[in-house]
Amino acid sequence: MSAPEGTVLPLTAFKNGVIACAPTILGYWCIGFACGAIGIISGFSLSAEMALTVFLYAGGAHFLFYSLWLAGAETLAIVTGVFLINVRYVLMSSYLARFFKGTLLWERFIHGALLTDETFGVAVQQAREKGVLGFWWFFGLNLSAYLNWVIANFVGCLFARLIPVQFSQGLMFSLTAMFIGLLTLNYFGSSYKKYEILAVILSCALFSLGLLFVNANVSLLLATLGATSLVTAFFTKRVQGSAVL
Amino acid sequence: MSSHLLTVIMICSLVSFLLRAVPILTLANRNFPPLVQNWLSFIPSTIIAAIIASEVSHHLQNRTDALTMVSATIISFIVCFISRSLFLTVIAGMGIYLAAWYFL
Repeated sequence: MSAPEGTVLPLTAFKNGVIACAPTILGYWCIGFACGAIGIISGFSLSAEMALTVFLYAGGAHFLFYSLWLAGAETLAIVTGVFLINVRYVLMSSYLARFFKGTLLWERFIHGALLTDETFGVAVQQAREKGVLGFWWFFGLNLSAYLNWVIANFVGCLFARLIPVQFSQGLMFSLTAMFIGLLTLNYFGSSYKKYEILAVILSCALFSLGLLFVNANVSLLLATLGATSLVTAFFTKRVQGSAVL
Repeated sequence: MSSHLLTVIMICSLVSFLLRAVPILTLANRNFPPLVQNWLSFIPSTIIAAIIASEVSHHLQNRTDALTMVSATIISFIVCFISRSLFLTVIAGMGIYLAAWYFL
């Protein structure tokens, strides 16, 4: 028997979960469509694009995969990049774990597999309000997100060839724009904004420096690791050294 | 699709799945040591900044639409600061390219 949902019927809970997903659907469609279209325009086959969509199911990592693969990066570099860009899920997943005590293993499997930034955000709001995350509600949320992402990508693939060349440049920029958005939203969500800015500056500086010695992909990863470590060092020193209020 | 590509995709997918699912599967409400937690918390900023830097530098080197690129980047940041909407940010960025194509 899975975690109790009070007196809410599974179907109702499922429907509520789907509804909870609604505000994020437009975003999924925009980025999913661009993702599919860019994949095809860049030369990936439909099957490759859909494999990324269905199995990887992570927008940031998906776009990063495009960049790295097309630049001829080594497998290890690609996997490391995907790992680093998705490592934040460990934190999110750990946070959500507390709401799944008493659930069955297969239920947790589904929740885990379909976790995204957006569904995490919605789930956290629900968890704060209701105190629990019912299986069917969360499944409604996750399934909607997943299906919309897959369909949006597929439609993007189909229409890719119809997009005029001039538009495709703008479409390619949607990738960068998405990352700009994620960076900014992450900044707003942080309790240590000054350190986030420092992290960004250090990362860009290290990346530029790295370009003098290695290729962009390696420099990207080294800049990430280096900047993160430096900022953490500054942060730890500052926070430990300052007077406790 | 080559089998190599498929292999890499599946490895990446497995890695992503493990990152998402292991904590929930094991109910690991793990309180990582503060140092690790802090380190992980700064990853988003650094990796995304590095990705953006990589994209911009690549475009500046290889393409003639540097002005469009730079202005689209700046506009996207501004729009995101104001709207806090990922969707609007992407639309705005793409809009700059559309405007550049239309007017130039």
